[in-house]
Amino acid sequence: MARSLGGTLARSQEIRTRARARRAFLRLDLWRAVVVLGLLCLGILFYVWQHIQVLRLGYALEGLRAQRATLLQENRTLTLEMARLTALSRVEAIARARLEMETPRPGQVIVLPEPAQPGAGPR
Amino acid sequence: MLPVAPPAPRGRAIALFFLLLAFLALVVGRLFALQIRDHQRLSQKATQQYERRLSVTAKRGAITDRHGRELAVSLEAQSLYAHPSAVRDPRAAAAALAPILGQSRGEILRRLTADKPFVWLQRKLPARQAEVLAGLTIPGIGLVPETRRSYPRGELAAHLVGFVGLDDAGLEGVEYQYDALLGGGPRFVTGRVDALGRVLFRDEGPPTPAPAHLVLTVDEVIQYVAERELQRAVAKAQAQAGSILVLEPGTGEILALANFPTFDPNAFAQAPAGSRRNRALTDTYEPGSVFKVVLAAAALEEGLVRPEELFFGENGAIEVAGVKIRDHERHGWLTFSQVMAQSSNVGAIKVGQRLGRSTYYSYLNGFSFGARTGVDLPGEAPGLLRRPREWSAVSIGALSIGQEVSVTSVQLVATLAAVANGGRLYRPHVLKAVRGEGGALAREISPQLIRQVISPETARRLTAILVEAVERGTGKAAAVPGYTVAGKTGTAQKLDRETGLYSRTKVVASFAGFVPAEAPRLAILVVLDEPALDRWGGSSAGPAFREIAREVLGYLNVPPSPGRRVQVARRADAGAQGLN
Repeated sequence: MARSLGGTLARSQEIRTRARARRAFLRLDLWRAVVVLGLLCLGILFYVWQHIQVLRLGYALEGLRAQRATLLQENRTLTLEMARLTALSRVEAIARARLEMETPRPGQVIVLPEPAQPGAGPR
Repeated sequence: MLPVAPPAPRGRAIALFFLLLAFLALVVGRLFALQIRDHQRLSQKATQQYERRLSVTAKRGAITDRHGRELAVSLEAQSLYAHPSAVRDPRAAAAALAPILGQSRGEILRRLTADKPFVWLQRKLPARQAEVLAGLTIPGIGLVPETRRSYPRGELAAHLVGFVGLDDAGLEGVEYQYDALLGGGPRFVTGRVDALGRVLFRDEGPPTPAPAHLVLTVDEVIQYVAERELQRAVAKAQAQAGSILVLEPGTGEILALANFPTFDPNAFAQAPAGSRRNRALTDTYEPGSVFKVVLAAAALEEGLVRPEELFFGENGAIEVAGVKIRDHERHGWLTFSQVMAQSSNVGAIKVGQRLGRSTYYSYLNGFSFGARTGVDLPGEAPGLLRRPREWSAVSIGALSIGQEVSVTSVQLVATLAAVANGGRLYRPHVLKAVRGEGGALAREISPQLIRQVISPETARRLTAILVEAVERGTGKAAAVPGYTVAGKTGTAQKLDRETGLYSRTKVVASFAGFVPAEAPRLAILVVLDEPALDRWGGSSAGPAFREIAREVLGYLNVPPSPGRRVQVARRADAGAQGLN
């Protein structure tokens, strides 16, 4: 009776030890699995994230292209308007009608000789 | 006995395991079907959904004058189109569009009910109209971007710049001549769109030559002055038409090219064809007395005449092979200089007879008469010059006074420019430089020397003769105060096609000259076709030359000719007068 009790105790002890070891092993396996799964998920998330970034940047790029095209168009329109406003026919008409300016007559034009350069000596 | 744990329910675990395995097998199987078995078909379907052919309209290059002032630019413009089969209510659509487009409902309805998959309703709309139309939502009708060519200076340099058609292809002038360089027009690249049709990515496509911007030799200010004076001269003389050319003698650069009548290239289709014709290049005419410049150049170069040599004016008439040719005024003895100054036909014919056919012909060829100058504009006529073997007995006389030869204005002004720059004939040209994207200089056009026709010494002596023609001869009206002008008048009778004889009333009046004579900066030709009021070249064309030269010399800050009377102020005087 004592031998069977001792043996049973030993066996129980052994079973408990094995169970502990198995639990420990299972815990280690579980952690490995979690880590591996976690890394996998991270990889998938990264792939999805960079794909979304590319899409987002694609939208942003197209938006900037459209903005640039609009600004260029505006620039050209303003250039055109400026060219129209500075057309010589318009300028002359305004100069004559509004500012009462005239083309200078020959006698009204005075020639100013350029001053001699310093140290150039008498001409 | 110690309690023993009951055995795990292995059956349920196994069942769960197989259930999961089956689910996994389903997933893997589906993945296999999608990614491997149906990969190609699904890829194509996806591509059809998100890939689009995008139109990228390259703007046509700008055209500017030599100082970068815009003469032609391109802007984006919306064009209205319709898919007739998709328009649900054509009548309502026509009623909505008619007041905006300014077209009749009937015309719009006709297009909306046409048996075509695609119709244009209006191309290249003004910005305001496009804005209003963008606010409408009519199924089957939409806007698409195109480019519209605009000429902000209106009629200025219209014949030189030209114009483009609806599809941005050059039709006239520089727009036509350099169409390939200016480029523009639709280009297609591949792009990807999302479910809402927004563009995500686009391929840049194969590299295509970027449109170039052209810098012309013309100066906006000089062009404006030339056009204004031409209009005044035509109005004053009541002429049918006219042309003015201004060249830089040392390079052949065309600073101005003006024709009357003219047109607005923004509405070229509404202008009559006659207005759009570049008369300075396309129209040929007998030049008359202005052609004596060529005769004089040849005779001086050959050493056959001296400026002071005397010629008898035969009291106003000379007979050549039985044909009597008269002077407009009777003359007695004239020096050769006076022959040119008074434009004596008798004196000129005597010099021509001395020169002889083949020698004279060689100089006519040398100055490129009877051949195109090669100016870089379309439509240039070569003129008409018969070979000596086709000349009659009277031809040497006729050719000496500018008849029996047909020239263009560009040939004449190039000849005067050659005399002005020491005998070198340059090819007239309008393109000065080509610029790339961002205005970077891609190519600069150098002057092209055709040939040295006469020696510098001959050119100098001829210049002195032409100065006398302005100061003491028929060209007095062209004299510019403060400057020495060299030039020659011309009054050429036109051939009456009905009678086959020279008309008594219809002439081509002209003045060709260069200024300042001692260091020429401008060679100017003024031509008036059939002036009704004042038929003489000196009095009808001369004043236009004078006004253009006076204003342009001031604009270019060219100092007066030495020894000419001008008002000169010292710096102190100028300050007292408030001129500083």
